[in-house]
Amino acid sequence: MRSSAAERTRPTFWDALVVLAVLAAAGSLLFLFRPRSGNFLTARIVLDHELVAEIELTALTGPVTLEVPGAPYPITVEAEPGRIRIAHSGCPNQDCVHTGWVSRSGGQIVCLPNRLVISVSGSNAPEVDGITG
Amino acid sequence: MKRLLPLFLSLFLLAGCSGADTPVTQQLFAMNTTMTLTLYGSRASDAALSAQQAINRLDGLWSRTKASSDVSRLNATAGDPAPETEVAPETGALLSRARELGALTGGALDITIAPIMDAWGFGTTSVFQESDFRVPSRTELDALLPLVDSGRLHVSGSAEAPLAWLDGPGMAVDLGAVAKGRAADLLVPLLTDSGVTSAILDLGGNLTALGTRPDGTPWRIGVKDPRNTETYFCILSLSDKTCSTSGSYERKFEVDGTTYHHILDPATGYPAESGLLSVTAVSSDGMLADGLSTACYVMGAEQSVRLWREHGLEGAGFDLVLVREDGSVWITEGLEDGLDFRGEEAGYTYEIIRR
Repeated sequence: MRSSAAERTRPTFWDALVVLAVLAAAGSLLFLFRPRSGNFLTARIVLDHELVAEIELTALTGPVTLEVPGAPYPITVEAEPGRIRIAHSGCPNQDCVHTGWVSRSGGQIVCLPNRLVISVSGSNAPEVDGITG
Repeated sequence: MKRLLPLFLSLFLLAGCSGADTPVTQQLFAMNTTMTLTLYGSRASDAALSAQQAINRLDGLWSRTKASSDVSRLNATAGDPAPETEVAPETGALLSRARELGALTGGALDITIAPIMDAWGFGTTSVFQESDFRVPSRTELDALLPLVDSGRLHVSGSAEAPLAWLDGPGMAVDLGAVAKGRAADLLVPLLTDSGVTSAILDLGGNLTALGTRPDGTPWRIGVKDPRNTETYFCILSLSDKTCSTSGSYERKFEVDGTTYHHILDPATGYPAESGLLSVTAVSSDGMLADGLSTACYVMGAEQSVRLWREHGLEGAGFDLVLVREDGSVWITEGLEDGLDFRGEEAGYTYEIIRR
């Protein structure tokens, strides 16, 4: 016996409801996964795999300094609206201080002796998946 | 209600899509650098763990700062009459391959350069500091240069149980120019066996683009601007390739107004002065890319292009990005597809080099 659905040729009220529901679901998904406007920058400070602090760089209104607690060599992080750097470090090689300001999504400051990594990420998708050098 | 079932099913599938696009990111400290693995795939977490274990194991074999490593044991017995050192299969293969690369580059890459590195202070410490560095005298370097000779590094035995020895007292091996590239080569099959088909392995600036992005497009890899290391001057489109960059900006020091960098010319014992700011080598063979970035920096642009013309299609093949001191950038034709050059504003111009 053939199903009643196969015999029907005209759309019913239920067909219309399904179409509407699909459209509503698609719309809400687009809304949920919409790209956020503006370029928000967030810096994550990680000491030996532990997240120490997360700073919204674009939300800052003035300079902020942070002495990273628990670092083997005393280290001072300085953040300003839109950028971050290591201002002072007691580490032997000073590579981290020489890195200077980082203001771009995907940017990174590393203090190897302290096992400290500062990663800057933005809500805008970065243009590159990695940087060689 | 039956009509609504497909709708719920499709929502369920959509939810699944977004999950698969979220990578697992693993950061680790090994081989005197930071490494970041970004892995996509349903078993990415397990893969990240085994990758981390593999890297730590290789670091334990190839480190010059760990006394029990294959390299430390090999160096400790240099010149002994009955000195053959048993090394791991990975180390034996790496040493043999490094010797081949040395021959390919006419000696511009030589892993027995360790005594010269030590004289400059670029050698054995795991954390470099300004006070480690010094400028050795010409006499001191002339006395050390005969120790730099890959021909006197011998690898024998079977592939499973290799033996290695250095036939001169004072000789030493440093794998800094090839270890990260080789590590990437060994990680790739391990990751693909764990179902990872998309990944970026950043082993201290040595980038391996495994497969493609999850959406099927090539990975986009920025090449660091040697004059402003916060940014990049071009973007390469790559899949299943490793790119390695050597630049004088990476490690350097200044004495009496002269800057000395860490890429040493095995022929002179001095930092290479070849008219280049940086070299990026790209290949599906990670160790080749790693070794060539150093070797081509030493060789200079013209000689590197000659090497590329003669050997660039052999085996895995390779391509180069050569940044010259005058701001001109030579990019070999294999990288032309999907190239996004951004260096004009910073004063760079580029030219595609053809065969």
